[in-house]
Amino acid sequence: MPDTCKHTREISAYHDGELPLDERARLHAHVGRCPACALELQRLQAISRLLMEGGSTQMPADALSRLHGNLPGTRDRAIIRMARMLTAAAAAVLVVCGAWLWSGAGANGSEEYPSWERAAAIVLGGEAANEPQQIAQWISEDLLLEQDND
Amino acid sequence: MEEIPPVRQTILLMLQQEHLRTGAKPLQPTDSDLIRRATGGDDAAYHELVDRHAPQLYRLAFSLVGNAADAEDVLQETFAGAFRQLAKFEGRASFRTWLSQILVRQAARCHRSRSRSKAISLDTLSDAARDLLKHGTVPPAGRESDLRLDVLAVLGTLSPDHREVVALRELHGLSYDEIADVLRVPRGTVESRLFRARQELKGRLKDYLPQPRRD
Repeated sequence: MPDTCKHTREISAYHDGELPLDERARLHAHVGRCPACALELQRLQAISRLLMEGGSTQMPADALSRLHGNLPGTRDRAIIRMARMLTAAAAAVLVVCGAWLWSGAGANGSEEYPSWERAAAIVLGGEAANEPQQIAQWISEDLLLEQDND
Repeated sequence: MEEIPPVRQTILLMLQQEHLRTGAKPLQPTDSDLIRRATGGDDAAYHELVDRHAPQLYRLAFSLVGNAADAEDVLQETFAGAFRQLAKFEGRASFRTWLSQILVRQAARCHRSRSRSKAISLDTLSDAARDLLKHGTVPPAGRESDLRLDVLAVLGTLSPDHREVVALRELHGLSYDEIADVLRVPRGTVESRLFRARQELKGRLKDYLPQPRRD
């Protein structure tokens, strides 16, 4: 039996169902008569069976889960969740610091300044009290007050 | 992506209700519907596209790179790349073909960056593979992993060009035209590469394939 035939090359496309209908019918009839082409077809079918059976690798479930976990929406949601947590933490720190300044450090700090200095900083009628005589008076009052305390 | 016209939406809704009423399987959204929803910000559509295509693409990736870890990496990169470019998908080829195209590129990149594993000798084909090749006997349960290794060994003997075309045809079931789209080569090139790859496989597996009758 001859091992090859001039139609052997077409058997590959015939096996894949890629020939036009008329050529397919012609080759079908030919394969019935030609042992070389029939053998070629059997061999291609055997290789396809092996590849199909052995190539049907199942995707592991955990690989699919990881794939879902990396999708754009999922990733964005995770980033948004983290951003919200960080914002909440920053807000909490601000509130605590603000409260500390208001109650403790703020109150003690004001006592460190003499009364004339605080008074000078007060805006009176829209303008700072910057008259030299007025300021001198406050300074002298303050010095007298300190002497009394001593 | 264009919006679904209200008339079409109504018809789809009616069809779905009819399917529910008759107990038939509900209509599945097409890939185009899911892509439209995904680009419109519907996260669930991304997940549905992954569920629909990942298992088949994983098989293809596995056959091209030869191990599970690289196959998973290739798949991750494929979907990441596809979803980044999703708005640019024009639908000239099917979504599956487009994904396969990205995957083949990623697999080639992965293959280049990894040191090639030692070629497996075909002399050590398992009994399961020998029976399947010679007599068409489907191997008994529990022998699948033997067969998987055999197939990897067989594919590993081919050049990258031949391995791609064989995997796309035999494992992924693409037509010649689809393979041509994926590999961006003419259809004639697909035919000749596939023919040569099969000739190569036949040569390597000749001892296990059906033999001519000598009468």
